[in-house]
Amino acid sequence: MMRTFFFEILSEEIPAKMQKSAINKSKEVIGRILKDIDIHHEEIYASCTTRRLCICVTGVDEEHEKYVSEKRGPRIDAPRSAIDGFLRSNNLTNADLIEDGGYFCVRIEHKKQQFIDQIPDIVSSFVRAMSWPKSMYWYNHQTHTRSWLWVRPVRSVLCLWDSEPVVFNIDGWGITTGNVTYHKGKPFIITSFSQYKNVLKDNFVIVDYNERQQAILDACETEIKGKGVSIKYDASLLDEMTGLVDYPFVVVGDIDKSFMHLPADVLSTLMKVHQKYFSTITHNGEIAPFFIAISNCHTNETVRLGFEKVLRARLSDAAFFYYEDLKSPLEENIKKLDNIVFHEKLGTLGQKVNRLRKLVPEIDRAALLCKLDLVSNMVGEFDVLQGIMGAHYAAKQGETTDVVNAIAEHYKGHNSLPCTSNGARLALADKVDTLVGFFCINIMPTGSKDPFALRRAALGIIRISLAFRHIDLNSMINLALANYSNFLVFDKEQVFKNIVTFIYERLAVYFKEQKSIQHDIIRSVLSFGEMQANKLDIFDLHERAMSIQAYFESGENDFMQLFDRVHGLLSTMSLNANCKMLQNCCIRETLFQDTSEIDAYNALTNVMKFFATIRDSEKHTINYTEAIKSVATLKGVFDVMFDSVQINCEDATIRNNRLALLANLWNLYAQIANFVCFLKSN
Amino acid sequence: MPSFQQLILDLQKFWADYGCVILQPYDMEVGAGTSSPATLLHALGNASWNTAYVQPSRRPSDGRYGKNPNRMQLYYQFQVFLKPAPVDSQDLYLQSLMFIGLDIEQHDIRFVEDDWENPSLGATGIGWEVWCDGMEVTQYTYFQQVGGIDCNVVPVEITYGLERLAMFIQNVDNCFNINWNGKDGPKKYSYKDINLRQEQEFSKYNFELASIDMLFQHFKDHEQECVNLLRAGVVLPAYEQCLKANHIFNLLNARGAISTTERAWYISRVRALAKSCCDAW
Repeated sequence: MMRTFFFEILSEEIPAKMQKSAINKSKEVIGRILKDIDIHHEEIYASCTTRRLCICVTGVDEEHEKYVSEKRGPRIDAPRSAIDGFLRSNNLTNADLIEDGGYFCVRIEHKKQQFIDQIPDIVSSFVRAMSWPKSMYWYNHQTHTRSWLWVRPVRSVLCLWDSEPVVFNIDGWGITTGNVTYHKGKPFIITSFSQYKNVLKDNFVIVDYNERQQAILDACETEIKGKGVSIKYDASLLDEMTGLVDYPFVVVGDIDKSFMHLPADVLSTLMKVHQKYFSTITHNGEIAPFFIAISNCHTNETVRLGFEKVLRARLSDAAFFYYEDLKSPLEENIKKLDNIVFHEKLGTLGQKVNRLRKLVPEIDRAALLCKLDLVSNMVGEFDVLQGIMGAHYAAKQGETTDVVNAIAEHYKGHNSLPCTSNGARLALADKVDTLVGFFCINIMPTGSKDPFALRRAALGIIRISLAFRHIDLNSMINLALANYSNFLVFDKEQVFKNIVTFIYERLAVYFKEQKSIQHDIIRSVLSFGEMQANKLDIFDLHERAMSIQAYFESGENDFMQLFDRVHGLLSTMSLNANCKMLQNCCIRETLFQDTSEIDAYNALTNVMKFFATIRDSEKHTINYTEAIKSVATLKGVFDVMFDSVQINCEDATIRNNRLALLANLWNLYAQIANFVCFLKSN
Repeated sequence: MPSFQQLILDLQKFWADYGCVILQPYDMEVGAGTSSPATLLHALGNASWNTAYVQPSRRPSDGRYGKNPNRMQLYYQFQVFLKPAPVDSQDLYLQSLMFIGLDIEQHDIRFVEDDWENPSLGATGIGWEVWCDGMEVTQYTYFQQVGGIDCNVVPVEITYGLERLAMFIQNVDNCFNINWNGKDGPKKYSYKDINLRQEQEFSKYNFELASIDMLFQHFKDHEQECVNLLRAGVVLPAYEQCLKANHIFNLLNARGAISTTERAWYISRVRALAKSCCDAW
C-alpha cells in the first residue's frame, strides 16, 4: 500500500535569505537518501517558513523487498586500519571485499523491511546530510553536550506515517519526535499533512513558500490600489520578505517629503537593504513617496508609525552624510585612498586604482574616480551604496555621462550586468585585478572559505566576458600580472594557469546552474578548454557547450554513436594517443580495398572542406552547430564501411591506411570538444 | 509610560526572578556588555552561569558632540547572559518585553538574521537582531567561539539597547528627550540633563584632545602588563589590562592616529592578549 511520510523540523528563526535554497536542497537530500535505500515514492514536497522546514513524501511503499546495495569503501592502497574499520562498521569480513576502480566495495544485503522501521534512520540521515550556508551548535540538554549542527536551535520534530506518529529520539538534538507542532508556544496535534497546513493557516502561518509569496504580492496590490503607484519589483527582496513573515500583513507608509530630494536609488537601496521595504514608482517611473513593508502581526496605526519613524531616522542620517559629502571635491579625496588598505600584501586602494588605470587606459578618468566613494561618509555608513554614491558624486561635480555610468556599473557582473561597454570594461578590470592579485599571493578559495569573494569575482568575469566579447580578457589578465610583478614575486605562468583552472571551475558551475547544461557536455568542453590552458576563451567554450547541448536536445544521436564507434576502434588498438600522429599520415586512396572505404573517404573530405568554410580564422573558432551537423551526416557511410571491411586487418599498410582515415574523423570531433569525457562517464 | 530607569528596574526584576545574578556594571571602559569578564570569560568552561547587568558602553568613534539624535560615545546596554542557553530563551525574552510594557501582539516583532563577530576578542556568535516595528532593539546571540576557543556549553547573550527601547516605549525621536526618572515638571530629568555635557566633552576629548603619544605609550604598557600578569598566573587582572589596551586602541582610532594598515595590526595584538587570557582562564 502507498502511504505518506511527513516530517517537520521546528527551529528558531531561519534566516530569510536561506529559505528558498533550503527547500530545493532538502528535496534533493531526501531524494538521494530514499534512492540509496531503494525506496519507491511519488512526489517529494518541501517548504520552509520562518521557523519550519517540512518535507512530505507521497506514494511511499509500505514495505520493500529485499535488495542488495553496493557501498564504496577506502582506496585499495588505504592503510589496513581504514579497511578493517570499514569492514567492521558493515559487519563483513575480508572475503566480502570487491575491487572496483581503485576502491574496495562491498555488497550489502538488505532484508525485506517495513518503511516505518526505517524512518528514524532516514530522518537522522537527513538531519546530518542537509547543509546550510552557515550552521551552529547549541546546548543539548539531554546529553549535556554540544548539539548536532543546524541552522538555528531545533525545538521540536514532528514525524508522521500517514496519520500515525513515528516516535524516536534524535540523539544529537536531544529531541523525541511525535505528532505535535507548536506555534507561539501553543501545541497542536497533527494527523496529516493537509490538516497541518490548515491548522497553521488558521493560526496565520502559510506553510507553502510560493503561496506565501503570492499572498504578499496580492496584499501589496490591494493596499496600494488607488494611490496611482506600482511596486518597484525586486525578486531577491521579495524572497527575503517571504522568509521574514509567516503570514503577510502589508503596511503602506509615507516617506517624509523632505527626503524625496535624495537620489532615488539611495532611497530604494536603503529601504531595501536596511528595512526590507519595497519602493513604489509612479506611472512615469519616478520614485513615489510611499513604501510597502510587511509585518508579522495584524497591522495597525502603531506599527505603521513605527515603520515610518525608523525610516525617517535612517534617511536623516543619509541626508546629513549626502550633503556633507557633496561639500568635498572629488580630487581632494583621491589621496585618502592611500590610507585604505585593500589587502596588506596587495597594497592600498590608491595602488589598486593605479593598477586599474593601467588595465583600462582608455577610460582613465572613470578608473581614477571609481573607488572615491569608499572614503565618503555615506558609504562609510551604508556600504551597500558603494558605486551608486560614486556615480552620484561624480555627476554632481560635472563628470561626463560615460564616466558616471562606468563608475555606477563597475561593481556589477555576478548578478546583473553592466549596460555600457565602459562599465563592462571597468567592472571586468576591477575583478581581474582582485582575482589576479589574490592568486599571485596564493590566496584561493578552499571549500566553504572564500573571504575575498573570489568565486563571485570569477562569476562576474564569466558573465561580462560572455556579454561583451570584444573586451580582451587574456591581455587584461596579462597586464594585471605585469602590474603585480612590479612588487610581488611569483611564477607568472603558474599563476596564469591557476587562474584559468579556477575560472573554468566556476564556468562549470555557471553552465550547470544557469544554463542547465548536461554534466557530460560540461566536462567534455572544459576538458577541451584545459588542453589549451595558455589561453582563456570563455565565449568560445560557451558556444561549444550550447551547440552540443542544442544538438542533444534535438533528439539526434548519430553524432555520438559514430564517435563511440570510431573511438572504440582506435582505443582497442591503443591508438587514441597516437591519433595526432595518424592523422598526419597520408591517406592513400590507392590502398582502399572496398568502395565503402572510398565513399567514406570522399564524404569525410567534403566535411573537412566544409569545416574550412565555417571557420573564423581570426578567432580560431568554427560554427559548432554546423560542424556537429555535418559530422553527424557521416554516420551512414562509415557504418556501411564498418560493416564491409575489417579495420584491424592483417596487412599493416592497409590497416594503417584505414586507421588514418578514422584518425582524421576523430580529429574533427577533437576540434569541437574532448568527447572522450563523455565515454568515461557512461 | 515607563521611564528610562524604570525600564532598567523592570528588566532587572524580570531576570532576577528568573534566577539571574544581578551584577553591577563592570567598572572599566568597555565597548559592550560582552567584554565584561562576567560574560566573556564565563562563556568558557562547563559551569552554568546566569547573569544580568547594565553595562555603560563606550564607543569613542561614535561621539557626535551630543548633536546626533541616536548616536553617542557612551550608551547603555542591558546584558543578559544565560549559560547554557535554556530551550525557552526566546519565550523568556518575549515575556520580558511584555514585562516592560511592550504588547508583543500589537507590535511587529521579528528575529532577523544577524551573526556577530568581535575580532578583537576572537569571538563569534550566531543569532539575530530583534526588530520591533522595524527598529532594532536587541541583539540576540548564541556564542560559538570565544578567544578562538569553541564554547561547548553554548550560552545565549541577549543585549537590549536601552535607549532604543526607551525611545520606542516613550515614543520620542531623539534619544536626548528620553524621560530618565519618569517625573514631569521641575522634578523631571531627561537623558539630556544627565548625559549631554558628557557627550560634548568626551567627543572633544576623543576626537581632539586625547594625547596621542601618551596613549601609544599606555597601549604598550598595558600590553606588557597583561603578558606579565598572565605569566604570574592571574587571569582577571591580566584581562583588565587587555580591556584597557583595547579601549586605548579605540581612542587612538577615534583620534585618527591609527592608519588602516596599522588598525589590523593593533586588533591582532589585542586579540592575542584576549586569546591568552581565555586560554589561561
